Amino acid sequence: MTTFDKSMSPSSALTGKASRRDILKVGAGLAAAAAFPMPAIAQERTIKVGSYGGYFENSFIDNVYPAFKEATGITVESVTQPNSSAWLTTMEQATKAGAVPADISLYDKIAMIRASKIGMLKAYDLTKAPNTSNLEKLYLFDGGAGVVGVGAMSWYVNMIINTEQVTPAPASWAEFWEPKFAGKLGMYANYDGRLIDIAAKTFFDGPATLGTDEGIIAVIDKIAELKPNVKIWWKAENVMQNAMQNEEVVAGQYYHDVTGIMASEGFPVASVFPKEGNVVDYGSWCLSSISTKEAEAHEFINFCSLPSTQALMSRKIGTAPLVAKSLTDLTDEEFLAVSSEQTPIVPAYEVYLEKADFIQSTWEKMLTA
Amino acid sequence: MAIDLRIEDVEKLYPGGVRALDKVSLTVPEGALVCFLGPSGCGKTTLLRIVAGLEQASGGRVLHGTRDISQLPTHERGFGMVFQSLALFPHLSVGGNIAYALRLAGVDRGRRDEKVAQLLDLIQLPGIADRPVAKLSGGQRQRVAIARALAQEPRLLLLDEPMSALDAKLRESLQVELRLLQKRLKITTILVTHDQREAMTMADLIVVMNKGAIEQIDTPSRIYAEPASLFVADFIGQTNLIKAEARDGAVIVEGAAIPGVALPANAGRDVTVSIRPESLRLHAATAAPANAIRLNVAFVRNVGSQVEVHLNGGDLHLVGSCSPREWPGFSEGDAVAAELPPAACRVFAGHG
Amino acid sequence: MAEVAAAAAPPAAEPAKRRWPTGLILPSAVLWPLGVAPLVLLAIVSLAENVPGGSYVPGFEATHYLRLLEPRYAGVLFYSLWLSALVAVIAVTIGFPFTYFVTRQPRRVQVLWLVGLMTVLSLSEVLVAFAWQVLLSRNIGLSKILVVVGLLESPISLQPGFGAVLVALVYLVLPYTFLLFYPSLSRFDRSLTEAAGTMGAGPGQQFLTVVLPVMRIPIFGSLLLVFVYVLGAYVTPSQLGSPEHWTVSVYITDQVFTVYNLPFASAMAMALMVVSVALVLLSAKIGESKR
Repeated sequence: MTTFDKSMSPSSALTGKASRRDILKVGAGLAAAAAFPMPAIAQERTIKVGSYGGYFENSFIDNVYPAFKEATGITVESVTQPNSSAWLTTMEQATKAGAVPADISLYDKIAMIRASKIGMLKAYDLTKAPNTSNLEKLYLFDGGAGVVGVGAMSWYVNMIINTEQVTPAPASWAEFWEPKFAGKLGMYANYDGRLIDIAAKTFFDGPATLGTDEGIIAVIDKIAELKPNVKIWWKAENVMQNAMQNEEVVAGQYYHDVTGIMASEGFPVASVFPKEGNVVDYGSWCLSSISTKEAEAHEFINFCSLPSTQALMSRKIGTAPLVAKSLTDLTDEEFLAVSSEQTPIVPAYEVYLEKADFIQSTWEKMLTA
Repeated sequence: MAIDLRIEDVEKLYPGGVRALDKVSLTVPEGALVCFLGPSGCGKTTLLRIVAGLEQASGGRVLHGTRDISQLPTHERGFGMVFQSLALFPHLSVGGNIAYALRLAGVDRGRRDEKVAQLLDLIQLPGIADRPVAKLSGGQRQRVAIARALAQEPRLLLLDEPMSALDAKLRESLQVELRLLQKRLKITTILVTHDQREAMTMADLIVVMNKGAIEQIDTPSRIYAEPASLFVADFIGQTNLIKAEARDGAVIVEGAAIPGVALPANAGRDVTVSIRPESLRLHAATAAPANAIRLNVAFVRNVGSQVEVHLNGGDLHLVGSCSPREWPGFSEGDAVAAELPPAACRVFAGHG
Repeated sequence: MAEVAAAAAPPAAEPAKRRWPTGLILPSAVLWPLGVAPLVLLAIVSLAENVPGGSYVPGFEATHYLRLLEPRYAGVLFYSLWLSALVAVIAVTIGFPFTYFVTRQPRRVQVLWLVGLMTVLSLSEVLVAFAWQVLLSRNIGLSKILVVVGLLESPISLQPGFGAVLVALVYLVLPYTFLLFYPSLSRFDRSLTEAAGTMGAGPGQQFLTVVLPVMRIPIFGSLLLVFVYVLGAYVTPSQLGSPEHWTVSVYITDQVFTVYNLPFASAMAMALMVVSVALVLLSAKIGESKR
């Protein structure tokens, strides 16, 4: 099954494949440069783009990059990222060293803000990528000196259930706190696994509550009440997938698109949209501050912001579009497989960033108490 | 009734059809030191290990007195054994090694210490009980291993080439010492060795083995003087083996007829004559008796206790020896005649 | 003792007096910086100042070490050391007699075992943890077999939990103990046990009074190696354990990948290293004084 990582799980960071592949590719590139006369190189326009290794990257290579080459003549050299945060460390060191493995990296919002603060990103000139106006404004991130992140795609982390064991489907996240789920849930173990946002929305005033330390403590205390119902606190995706398939747990938090794939394989699982909504997260294309491929980068983000490209990604990769559904040719069925028209729960990114230590340490105390 | 050790029709077959022992039978009389002697691979160690219970015989049985011990596990046999590697326990002191069997038997501390001291006196190494085994010299290790094997007052002592790791001089003195100790304790002992000198020094009885079978069981002097086979004659001591012909009750060696030699019952035309170097009688060629063989002196060496002379004549190569006092004083190149006294000749069928 | 010293701290444990063959100067000149540089970097980062929402800036502050004094971190550290020690003892207790048994088999059987255990060794920790997660689940695994055999009334889930972590870790390190014991046990002089046999020791007594004491140095070495290996394991505790079964390594990984507090992660790693090196030296000291 898929092991692609939406930047939240560190599991794929273990494989170390990224660096080895990069080295091979760099080596191959050098060999090619040495073997061919200069004019041939000058004619071919290329750009190195990173994405999360596995199913995710393969889908880009098979579907998106060929379409981009057809439209612009630019060849994408795919670079494997283990996830966002570990890749950020790699890029930080590479930037200091003066040579980066990728021109464009795919970062989640937290990693993007960190990269921007450290000064690793170069601002885009959006007039050279007019299609970006198709995106909702919130997906264009301004780090202070211009837009440094252009939304690539989004994904949902949903309430999922075993359709045979849980009937009817819960109408609210609050039902997870009821005794009927005792020892039956699988929830994400990391502090930034969005359970905090879910609890804040369900039982408090949403992001506003998370603005103060007292609010954070109150939300985490509420989550402490959920503990007897949680059998598995998962860190790696495959653990939750396995637990759902073996019916070790009957409900929990999981990726919307992978749940769809599991269901299509015959497992009795389904995504549920409770009244509070599900959590949406998104990734952005970010240009390295020392990249020399600015022109190609602008053509790339321009292409990715096309409604047709967004629809292509929804169909082939399972990500949710960042443009309004009306702009795309997605059918209702196709759209609902990857997204929802319901208002989503948006993570309190700034809080996670500024109070990482405090939230994590409070969360950890609650979890291990 | 004496508690002898009897080995009856013992066989050992290894997977793949290798026959290490072929129906071997012998008796080790109580109180005697019996030596299994033979070249490496003759089965002597296998036989000893079967007696010790370290290996299972494929057939036959081993009796201790009247008791069949063939199926008895090693640790219930109560036989002391000294291994070729000595197998001293590196994690225990000298005292700990010697007291090992006593400790297992539940002997209390005081009696153990007493026994250890007594055994160390016996092997003439008093007061080294606390010393680590690694700090001992080769000879000391050897004696400690013997003391350890004796600690349980075994009914049978088994020695598997215990002196092969020592240098020649030390080996000789230990052989004598061990033999004296064995006689004093009157302990039934089996010694395995490939060193015929060691066997001659120590044994009451020697069992000469070859290719998994027994060639001869006899006292050392008879083994030497009256070897039962060509193999024994060749293996024990030095000897001259001369290809000869049996004709009309006499033996013809290089054209010289030697009458009055005892021929074996199975002798055909081809025979081999065995004669010890010291039994050859040498004469000057000019004074040769009728039945002498004419040869030339190739090499003479005087090793002090005896003079050895190498003689060549055609295909024949003989070695003679005598004490320096009896040496006639030939030099290299001299023509001589060698006389073979009939009583000193042993004749075996075939040309070996 | 030489073997243990080598396992514990390679070149550093050599007495200074000993003269080095000149041929070793070049390799050690290369290895020393390679070995020490990451540690020095770790120490430097552990004293740096963490910038929330950003990276870290060079500094010299004890903040991160002081934070480690919170009782819960001491608790996690103690738990990790205890788990590692327990896994080491269990793995060696199973692995040693097992290896002894294998070395007494015919050559062909030994090779089969070696190949089999090598195969297990080639599996990554992620795969092993995943396999045990399936094996210990209610619907598929062992529990079903126990029901069929009649030891259980209805299938139960045996994970996540302490038992699951323990079993998977022992499984993971067993091939290592086998590989560590195999050379010395297959070279083991059999005349030692045979001699014990002639002095009245049955097979069990031979094992206890001769094999174990003679092999105490490889045993001690394996205990140390497994101990250190388990201290560094983080996939198994995080996949098969509940939060209370997470080890220091899981906490360090969380700090690196989710909180992005590299100085605190470095401080934890330094503390773990100092405590485990101290324990190793202490046990080596005790081992030596007992001789």
